[in-house]
Amino acid sequence: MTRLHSLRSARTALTGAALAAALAFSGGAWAKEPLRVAAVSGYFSQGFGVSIMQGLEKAKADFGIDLTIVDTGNRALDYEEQFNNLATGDYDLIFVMGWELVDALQKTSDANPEQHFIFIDGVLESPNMTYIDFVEEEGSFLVGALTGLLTDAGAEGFTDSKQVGFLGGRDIPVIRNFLVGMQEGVAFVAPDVTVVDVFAGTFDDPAKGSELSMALYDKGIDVIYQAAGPTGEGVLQAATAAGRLAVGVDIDQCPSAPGAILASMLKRADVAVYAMIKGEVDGSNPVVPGAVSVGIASGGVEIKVCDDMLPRIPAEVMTRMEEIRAGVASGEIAVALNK
Amino acid sequence: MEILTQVFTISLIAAILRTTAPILLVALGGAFTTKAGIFNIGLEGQMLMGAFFGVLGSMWTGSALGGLVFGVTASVLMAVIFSVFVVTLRANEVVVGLALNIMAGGLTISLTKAIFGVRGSIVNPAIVGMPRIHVPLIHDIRPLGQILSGYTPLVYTAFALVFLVWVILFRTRLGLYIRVTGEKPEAAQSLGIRTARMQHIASLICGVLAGAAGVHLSLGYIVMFAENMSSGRGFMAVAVLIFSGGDPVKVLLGCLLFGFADAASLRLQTMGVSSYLVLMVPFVVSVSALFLLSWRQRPKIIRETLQHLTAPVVAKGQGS
Repeated sequence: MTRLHSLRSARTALTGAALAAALAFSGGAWAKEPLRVAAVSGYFSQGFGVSIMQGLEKAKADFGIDLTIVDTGNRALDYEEQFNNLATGDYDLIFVMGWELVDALQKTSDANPEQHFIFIDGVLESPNMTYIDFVEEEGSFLVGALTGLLTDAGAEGFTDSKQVGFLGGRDIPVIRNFLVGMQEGVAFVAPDVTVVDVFAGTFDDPAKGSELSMALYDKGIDVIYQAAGPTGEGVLQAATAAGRLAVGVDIDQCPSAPGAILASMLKRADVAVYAMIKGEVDGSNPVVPGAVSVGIASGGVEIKVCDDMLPRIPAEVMTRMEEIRAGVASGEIAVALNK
Repeated sequence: MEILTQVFTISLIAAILRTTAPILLVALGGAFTTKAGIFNIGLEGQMLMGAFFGVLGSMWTGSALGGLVFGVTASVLMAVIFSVFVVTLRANEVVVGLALNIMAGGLTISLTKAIFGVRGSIVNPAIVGMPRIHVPLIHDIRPLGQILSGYTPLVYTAFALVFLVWVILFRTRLGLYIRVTGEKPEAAQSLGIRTARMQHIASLICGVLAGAAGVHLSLGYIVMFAENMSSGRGFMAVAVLIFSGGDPVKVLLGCLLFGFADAASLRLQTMGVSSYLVLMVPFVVSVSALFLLSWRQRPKIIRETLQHLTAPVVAKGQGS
């Protein structure tokens, strides 16, 4: 799932150096009381939420944190009460994921400014909270670069079409970030290739996702990158039916349509959550209010080529992708949103 | 002009048939309730239940047919609740229909979470989808095969049902009774027709078809379940029913209009037309169609209203 960013400011990258420092110091952190961490969401059993859980569990195993999981379910009336119960000062960090929780969260945070709330996958107005903000345009840039290179190389599964497809859920800013990233990635490696973009207008109509994909495939397009939640699942199925390719998003979607998925653009919530807890535990990078951008450099956003597609990808494309990835990570290649 | 030739291709016809089929199935179900004098706004919810239980049944039984049975059963249960409230207890049909729609939305989300432990969508290799039918002989003839072959069974069923529903409504005693119940309940009762029973029957048949439409969505069109995946198709069917009056041929035409608007607009997007404009098309089409039809029928509506005002009031509905 992709979520709306209302604001994107104060980009502070989680740098590799901070991680290295964190590793070095982690041994000494044991003497203190265990860090008390809570995590609140209704989505711990869904793709992205599972990834959060993995990060939390790993942190628990490595640092002995005291972990409480609060599954909100879909009882909208209790949200505020649940947050108030948590915000009594018992917890050092409270991770929150899910846009339906935002109202209750902001109220609670305003009433308890000292409480460290960390909102995952978006930036809100409240100045007291910390935000984990995935730089999806960087990952999308790599998707664009990969599809552009393969189109030019005429790799297996690619015809002489000079177009690649993008299918978004609704036409909203955060989805535009995916599109712009892809366009820039394509333009970077293959200026003669264009991105044909379409929007389903909804995140929960996989049938429409499938129908729109068919329209793109009928145009001769070989590969479609989707950022459309459940609508996007329809894209993956259409790729199988049409014998073409699609690119997954957020989590590793390779298993959901084997043979039809080229790669997935991953938002590694596990990496981001783990790094944040680590920084707090060893004091190397304590959690402070503001937005923390998680991109290619920190490994919070990455592209995973599906295993069954690896043989199709020419060695020189792989080499070039590695260079581009390194370039984006170092900041040499700037992925800019035209804002 | 170039855009037109790119949009109007053979594959557009196939796309129209695909986008039309689910609306057509559910609308044909609604034709029965419409003809029986019930305004059934609960189609959306019945369809959603069909879609969810179709996936569930497919996983549990390991066959698409099992999914169809489960999905249709769930939808029929919704139809039973609907007709008990509306026909037997004489509750307001719009309120009951809306309530059932909301219930279907919430229930499928809760059950998804309870059974599969996930939210959003159910994608699972254990879900057995419906097979695509390759019509012998025709399949390899282009462009005929492209248009007529390669769909899942319920697509063919939907179009075949247009004729079948017409026969039932206009050439059988059951159909006659249902129509009389809807058009002149007093006359029906004086003839000894049990109007309540006719309305229950119509509602059940409607449940079967709406359920099949839902199963088509989750096991035929694509193979998965997503929260709220009926995505307004049940409401489109309601719109079609309003301007077709439940007449199967007009239902077909109305659904084809929606299917065409949908398929063509999606293709327009691939030509670079803004999604904001394109995604309105089906709704602009439906509003225009409603307007044109009601304009044509205005004198008739005014006349009937006047008749109602002047004629002595007769107790409506409720048979034995």
